[in-house]
Amino acid sequence: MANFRVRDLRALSKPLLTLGVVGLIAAGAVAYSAKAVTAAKAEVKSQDTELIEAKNRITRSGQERGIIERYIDPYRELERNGIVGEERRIGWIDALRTANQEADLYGVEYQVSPQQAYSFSGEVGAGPLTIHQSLMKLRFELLHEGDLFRFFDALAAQKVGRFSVNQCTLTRLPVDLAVPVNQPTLSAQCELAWITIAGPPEEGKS
Amino acid sequence: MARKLVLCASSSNLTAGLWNGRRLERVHSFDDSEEDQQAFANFLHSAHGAPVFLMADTVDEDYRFETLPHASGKDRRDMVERKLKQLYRSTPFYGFSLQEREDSRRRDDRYLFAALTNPDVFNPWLRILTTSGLPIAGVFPVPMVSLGLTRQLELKDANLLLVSKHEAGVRQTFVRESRFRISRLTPIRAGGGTIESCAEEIRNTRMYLDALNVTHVDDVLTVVILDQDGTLASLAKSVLQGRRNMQATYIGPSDITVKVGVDRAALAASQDALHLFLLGQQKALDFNLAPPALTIGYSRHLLSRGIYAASLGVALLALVWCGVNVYRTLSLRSEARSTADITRQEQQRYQQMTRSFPPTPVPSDRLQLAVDVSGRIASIARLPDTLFGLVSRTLEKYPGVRLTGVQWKLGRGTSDPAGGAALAGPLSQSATLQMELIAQPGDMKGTLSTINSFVRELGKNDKVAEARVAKMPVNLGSSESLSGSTANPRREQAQASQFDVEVTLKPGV
Repeated sequence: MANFRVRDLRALSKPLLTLGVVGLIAAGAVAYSAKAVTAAKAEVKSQDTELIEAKNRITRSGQERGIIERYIDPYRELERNGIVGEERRIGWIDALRTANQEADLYGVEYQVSPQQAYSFSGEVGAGPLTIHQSLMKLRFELLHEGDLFRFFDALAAQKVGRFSVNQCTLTRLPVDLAVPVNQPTLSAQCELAWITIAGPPEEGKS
Repeated sequence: MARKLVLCASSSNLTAGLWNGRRLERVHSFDDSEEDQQAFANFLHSAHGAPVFLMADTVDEDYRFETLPHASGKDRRDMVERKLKQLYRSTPFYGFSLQEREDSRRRDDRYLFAALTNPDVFNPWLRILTTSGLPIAGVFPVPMVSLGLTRQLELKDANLLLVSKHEAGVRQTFVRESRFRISRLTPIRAGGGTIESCAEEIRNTRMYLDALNVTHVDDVLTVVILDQDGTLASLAKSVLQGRRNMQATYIGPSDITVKVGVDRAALAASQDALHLFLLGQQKALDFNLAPPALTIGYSRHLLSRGIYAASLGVALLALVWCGVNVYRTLSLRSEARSTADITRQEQQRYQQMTRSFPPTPVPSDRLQLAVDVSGRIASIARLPDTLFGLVSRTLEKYPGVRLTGVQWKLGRGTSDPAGGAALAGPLSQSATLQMELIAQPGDMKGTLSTINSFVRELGKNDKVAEARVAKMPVNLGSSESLSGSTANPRREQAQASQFDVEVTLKPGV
């Protein structure tokens, strides 16, 4: 019986091979054509989405015009103040010098680290906007703690960019009675984040 | 079935023809000489794998009716097989056909058994066939093939006697009520007198039927004379001479050609041509005398054809499927192109509309977002003034407590203050206050009480989420060592005790 079956299989090898080959080719052809249908469906869906978007744009065009008219001036203001666009480090340094003078401080030491991604993009709902920050460490001395706020107010008034104070450490200095009045009593170490929002991509820049 | 090789074998010769689906072609007769057997082998070689249907036309045949108890399925097969083996011990060529169920109370089954009692006659031909490797579909008795004629010629008489001339002789097949009953082959005598001897055989058959009570003497027997070559034209007249209980129907070569369909060239080639044609025509013959060992090749052939048919089916199905998919793809692409055209038009319309807009460096949505985000950045920025104010107001109530340093921070709090896998919380201000308390060194209770009171006072403010002592002037923990002096308090000088306080403001403050 075993021989019979082996002989049977041998005799049927050609038709079975044919069936296998036909089956494989058929499955391949069906799969290929089905893939083409799927791709075509995706293309139709994509085109439909683009069309809806184009129609929505037209519908929203009145609203869009209103948005531009309302926000273009504040946006230009942000550009002028160094909040939108490239960061202006020279402006920051100048502003530090000016703020130091205006707050009657004893000099400010600074150290700016390389630009990095803004830590609180999620908190401010940045969405597709790219926001950067450059951390600046400051060391200065104060006559009293009120000078700290006068210094930051003076720095903000320079309008050279948006900054946020991340941390500040104030340490009381030992009082030297031999030295005349107006000697510093506090040492301050602060960390600021200078924040810039990326502007429009420059043409020809990838 | 498209092509098949149809054969009619007798004791002295074999007639072969090729059935091409509608016509019988290449009809040849071979006698039992070695030369003809070689010619037959060559003929088979040209058949190119066509299945073989073999008719046995021999006097060494046996037909008998048997009544057996009614059974079905395997029981019936086993019972009939036992009976056939009892009846036909000396031959493997036998078969059966269930004819009817009897009207008697037992309702027994009536079977027709048939066998070729001398298979040696066919052995030379079968050997050649087996050697050729062609699949043998079966071995069929000539009378069973003849039954197809009654339908084609619309012979509806109750008692029919089909008379046909073959290479092996004259065959008479008696059919009653369209059912086979008896068949006889009479070899043709050499020389003249064929008509008369045929007529005599037919008359003898009639008497034999009456003697067996198969027919009654008053029954009219219709003799159907199948004359392929026109040599039996006068047979009807000879048979009916003086016989009132017989009638004859003569079907000559022209009628056979017109009514059956076999062409004249084939008829002229052999006297077996008519039955070869009938064998080729019939799609299913249920009276196969061949043993299973002989037809195994044909089973494989059928299976092989089935697989090829399945392959064709798969290919056709795939073709249709692919066709539908291609149609859908083209249709969808056309739809996409048309949508893209409309989109382009809408985009052009939009471009025209935007020409009247004020110039803007970025799209309107980014414009609005940048302004809004800038405002939000400003809104979350904090200076330590709030916390400093809180601490100052609390210090005013505790003149002995003094602030020596502050570490202020704006950042995300942690949802798990105990440490470990802390999760980022909302933005809030926190600070570590370095403080000192001027107190008597021995008044430890008073010192701790003042510090705790200060921290509680700090924590009472609505803006404070939490205030706690981070470091006490002394560590009273049981695991730490503790040292000091209990000198006279009057002689002691007041000393500054250092301690740290951690303050966290509520989010949003």
